[in-house]
Amino acid sequence: MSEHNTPHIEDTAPVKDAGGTQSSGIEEDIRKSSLIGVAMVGALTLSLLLVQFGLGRQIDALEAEAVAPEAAIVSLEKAVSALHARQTRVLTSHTREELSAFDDRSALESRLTTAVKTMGEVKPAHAEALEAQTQAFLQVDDFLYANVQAHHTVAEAFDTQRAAVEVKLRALIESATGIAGVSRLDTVLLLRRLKAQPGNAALAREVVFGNGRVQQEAVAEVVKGVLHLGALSGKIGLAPNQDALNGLIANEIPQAVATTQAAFLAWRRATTDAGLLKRVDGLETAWASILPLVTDVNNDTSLVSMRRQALAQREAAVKVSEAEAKTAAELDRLLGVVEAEVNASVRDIAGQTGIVVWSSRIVTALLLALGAVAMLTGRKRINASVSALRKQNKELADLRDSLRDINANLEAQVESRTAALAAREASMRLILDSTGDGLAHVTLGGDIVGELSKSMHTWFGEPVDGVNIGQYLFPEHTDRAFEIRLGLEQFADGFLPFELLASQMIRRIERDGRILGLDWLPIGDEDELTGVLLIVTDDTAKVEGERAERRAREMQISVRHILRDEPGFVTFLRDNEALLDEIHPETPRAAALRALHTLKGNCGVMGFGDVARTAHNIEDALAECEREVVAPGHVTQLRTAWAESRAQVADYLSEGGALDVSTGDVERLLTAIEGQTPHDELAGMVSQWWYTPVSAYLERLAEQSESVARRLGRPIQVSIDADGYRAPDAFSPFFSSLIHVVRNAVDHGIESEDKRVENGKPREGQIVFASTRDSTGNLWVELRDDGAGVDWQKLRARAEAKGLKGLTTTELLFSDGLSTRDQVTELSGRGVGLAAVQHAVHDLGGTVDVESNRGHGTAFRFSFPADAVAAAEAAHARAAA
Amino acid sequence: MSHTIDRRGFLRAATAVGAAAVIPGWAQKAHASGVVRVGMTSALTGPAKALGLGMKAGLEGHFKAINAAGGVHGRMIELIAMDDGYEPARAAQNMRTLIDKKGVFAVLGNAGTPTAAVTVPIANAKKTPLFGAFTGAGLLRKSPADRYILNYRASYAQETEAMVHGVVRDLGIRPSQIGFFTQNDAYGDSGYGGGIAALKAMGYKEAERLPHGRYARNTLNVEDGLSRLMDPREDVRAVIMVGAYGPCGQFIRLARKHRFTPICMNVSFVGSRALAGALGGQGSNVVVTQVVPHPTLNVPPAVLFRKEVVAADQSFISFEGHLVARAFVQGLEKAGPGADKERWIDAMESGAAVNLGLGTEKALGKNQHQISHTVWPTVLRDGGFQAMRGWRDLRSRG
Repeated sequence: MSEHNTPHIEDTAPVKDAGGTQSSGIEEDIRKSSLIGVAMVGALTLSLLLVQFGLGRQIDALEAEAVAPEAAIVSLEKAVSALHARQTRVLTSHTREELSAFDDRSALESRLTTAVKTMGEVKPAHAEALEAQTQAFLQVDDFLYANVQAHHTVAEAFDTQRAAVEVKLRALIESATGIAGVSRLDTVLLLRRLKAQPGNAALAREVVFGNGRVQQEAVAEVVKGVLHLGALSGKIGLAPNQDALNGLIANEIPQAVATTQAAFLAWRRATTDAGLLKRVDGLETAWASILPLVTDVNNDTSLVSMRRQALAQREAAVKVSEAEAKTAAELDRLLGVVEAEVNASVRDIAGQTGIVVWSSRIVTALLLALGAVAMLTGRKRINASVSALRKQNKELADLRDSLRDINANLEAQVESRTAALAAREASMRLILDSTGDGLAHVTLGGDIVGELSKSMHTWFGEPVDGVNIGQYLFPEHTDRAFEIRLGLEQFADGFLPFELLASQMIRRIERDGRILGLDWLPIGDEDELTGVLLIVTDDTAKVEGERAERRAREMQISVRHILRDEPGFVTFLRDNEALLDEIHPETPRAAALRALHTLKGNCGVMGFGDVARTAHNIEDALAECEREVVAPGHVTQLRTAWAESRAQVADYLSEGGALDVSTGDVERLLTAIEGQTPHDELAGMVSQWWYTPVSAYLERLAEQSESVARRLGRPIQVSIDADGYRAPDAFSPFFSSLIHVVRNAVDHGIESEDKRVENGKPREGQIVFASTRDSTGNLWVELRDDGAGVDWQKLRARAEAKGLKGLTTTELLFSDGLSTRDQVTELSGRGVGLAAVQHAVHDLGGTVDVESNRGHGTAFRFSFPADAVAAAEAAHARAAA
Repeated sequence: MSHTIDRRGFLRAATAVGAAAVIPGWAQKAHASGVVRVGMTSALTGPAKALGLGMKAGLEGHFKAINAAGGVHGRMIELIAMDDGYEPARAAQNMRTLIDKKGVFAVLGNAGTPTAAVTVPIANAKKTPLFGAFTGAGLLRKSPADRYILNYRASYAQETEAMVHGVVRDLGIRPSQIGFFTQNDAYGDSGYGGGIAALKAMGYKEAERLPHGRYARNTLNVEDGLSRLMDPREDVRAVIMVGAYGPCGQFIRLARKHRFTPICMNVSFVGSRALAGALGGQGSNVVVTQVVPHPTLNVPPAVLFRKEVVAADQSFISFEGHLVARAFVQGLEKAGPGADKERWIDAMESGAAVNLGLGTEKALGKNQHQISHTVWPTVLRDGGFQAMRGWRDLRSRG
């Protein structure tokens, strides 16, 4: 390709020049725009720096002028308010103990002095005044504390004194009442004497005019006075001010004292008893000693004096509070001044900051506007240049494409095509070699085209040049090779659809022990077939597998039969070995066919599938080739199949034979023994046990029937009605042959389920097996179904077609080779089965009768006369002996 | 502001930590060891010391015997007796010391009603049993019962009720011929109330108007009270006396002096030995009701008592202390090994009667916190108080 590029570059050279001129204009534009951008960024940065610088200065100023003083003010205020809080607590304390909690002020004090010091540093102008005020404040606080403390001291002393006074007064009252009690007792004693001597006038006078009453009154007065004093001491404690206290001292107290003293005087005068008088004197002395504790104004510890002190302290406290308020207000004012200054400087700084901010905004806005104008202009110019360039590029591209087209080379195309074909060939070979199947491309004339796959070589050897496919596949069978050739010719003719023809071609070959499957696929388009693809697959394993599986399945069936009814299975073996013996090259054709047919039927049911299939193939051979006799090879095949099947089940059979004895049998025997029955008869009864009960035969039959019915998909219901009679072994072949009747009944008689339902019959076909030995010794066996019945017309027509005329219905039904069925299957349809039954009946000297009504079912009745039965029994007894 | 909060928070935290550190280790579960500590606060000195010493002797006598036999479920019983001098304030302090510092399991055998007025609320608050106090006052016998207050003895009301029944039913004295002489406090009032209630229950409606003399506690001023009972308008044949031995003895002496000789019936608290002493061992018709049988009787509890308490200490009071100790030990046994206060009370309340051999013990329950409801009257005779077979004894002598 490079050769062709040279003229291309040369062609475009002048264009490039034109583009160069254009692009230098763009570069110029971009350069200008960049310069404007750089200038703008520079200008913006500069203004930003300026603004930052300005703001930084304002912040510094704010820090110095506002923040520090503000913080100092706040901490000062906090310290002062903490002190105020303490003062409140001091003032509201009730006892000295409570107060002592606030004794230590140093922490608060140091906070305050620190705050003041800080303030002095930031606002030196106010430092001195603040210091002075703070000191004043603390001093007032000291006063306050001392005052409160003194107040508490006095109050507590007052309380103690008052309590003591009260105790003394109470004792006084007790004494008084005690003394009063004595005089009261005197009076009562006097009264008692008077009661004893009502006529004693002196006593009466004493009671009325004696001192007793006066004493009682005096005591009452004294007690009243004492109580009054107690009340007064309470009043003193509550006196709100000096005036109230003075009032108490001047008025109430002297009155109470005077009254009490008068009462004492009266009491003394009325008391004549010396002891009592002494007690009264003692009482008065006690009273006199209490009085000064309460009322003596000259005594510092009297209640009155202490109350006076307390009141004085309270007044002092009020004054201190006033002073405190004054210093607090002054402090507050000073702080206000500082705060105002701070606020002013803050306002100042804020104003300056505003100017800085505004000017920066204006500058920025101007710069941005300028930048926008410059960029718009730049954009317009660059746009114009770019569209001019695009146009030029388009022209260049067109030019190049046309050149490339011209330069395209035919030779190169051919070369690449050849290489591709070679690659395809190689890959084809690979497929042929690696596929496990045999592949062959064959012309319709039979010639092999191209290579064969590796498997073909393996299976059929190396193909000779020009060999026909038929010869290649069947080198030794000219007829089969010919068959292939014919098939291919039919493909070529194209009269019939390919698929149909392909299905009729040879599909399976056995070669060197391999089973090979052949598939034919059309080659060519829809209208014209050009050849055939033969695909050969190795099906050996598949076919073997299928066979093994089938054998296993059949084996299971056999074993199931053995397990369920071993005597029955043994009977089956015996009967069918006998049948097998009947089949040999000398056997007449009809007899061989009957035997084969029965054998096939029995083996099919009992799981001897190989035997059944072999028998079927031999039947096929006899039927199709119209051979007269069975070929010796076939006989061998059949015997081998039997022997193999027999060997497979041998392990499952028990060594000795089994007897079928019911409890009824045993009971009958026991009854007979108990009834003193003679030995001969007992022996006869027991020897009967060698025979098989008819019911057992019929049950086997029923089971086989159900098996057949299942295979045909015709559900049936079998019922058995048999007496206890046991039939000798001679009857065994007869019962075995009955399977043909059943098969006929199921296959031909019982309709499909739908049809049955349509005809109003039960869904399941009803089949009845009945047997009885009548009183005269005749044995009856009946098989009955409720199926469709025999199509006599059709049967007769078929017989006539075979040249058989004038037959009875029974004869028609039982003649060999007649069947109403058009299809032959492994199970029935050859018309041979019923003939086999008839032979078995005749062998035993019995007869058969058929009754069949179209649509209502068929009944087969077999009867064996008493003498025939007895003969069979006798034969059996002989054999046993 | 946040600074201040921080500091306050710290201070509060520091205070809390300090307080926690101060809680003493010995305040916690002394009973976990092999010792059951019981406390007693009573008058061990002063005028009422006979009560406290008597109770202490009774308690200690039995505990000593129990400890010598291996204790209760392997635990020894230790009695800590503290003196309160019959003063409520000291009793309260002792109660707190016993419970908080000594970690006692229960407080037993305290004496007196005014002290009980302060010890009962403390026992309830600290959930510590207060058992067998030497007082019959109603405040230890509330209904519903306080869980932590249990009693051995009959109440004063029951004692005065027994007196009323005795004189009215057995001696044929009319209810209107009964008078009262009581101390002017809760003790006196509770006995007086019991007598009044008993009289009313007998159908005497005007019980409150019966002559009633009172005296001030801690004085001998009995004249006023006596004058009210000797009032010529009354005909007092029997006086129910609820007071201390001093004033009661004074009353009886003064009454005799004035030839006023009703039957003088004192409640157990009066202290029979002291009263007999105050009367010089002489007198007739002076009765003291007791809440224990006579300690010299030949009944099993008295025999055991005489075995475990030395003769010098044997009295009605120490007998009561001994019975209280026995009841406490039985409860402890019932409560099982390692029992605590609550389990002891549960065991006491469990329904089966504590068996002291008296024959009249009541089964305790949630609302029955008093073991004995029986009153034994004694009479002053031959220098001391002797057991009475019945109230008619008085008439035959009288």
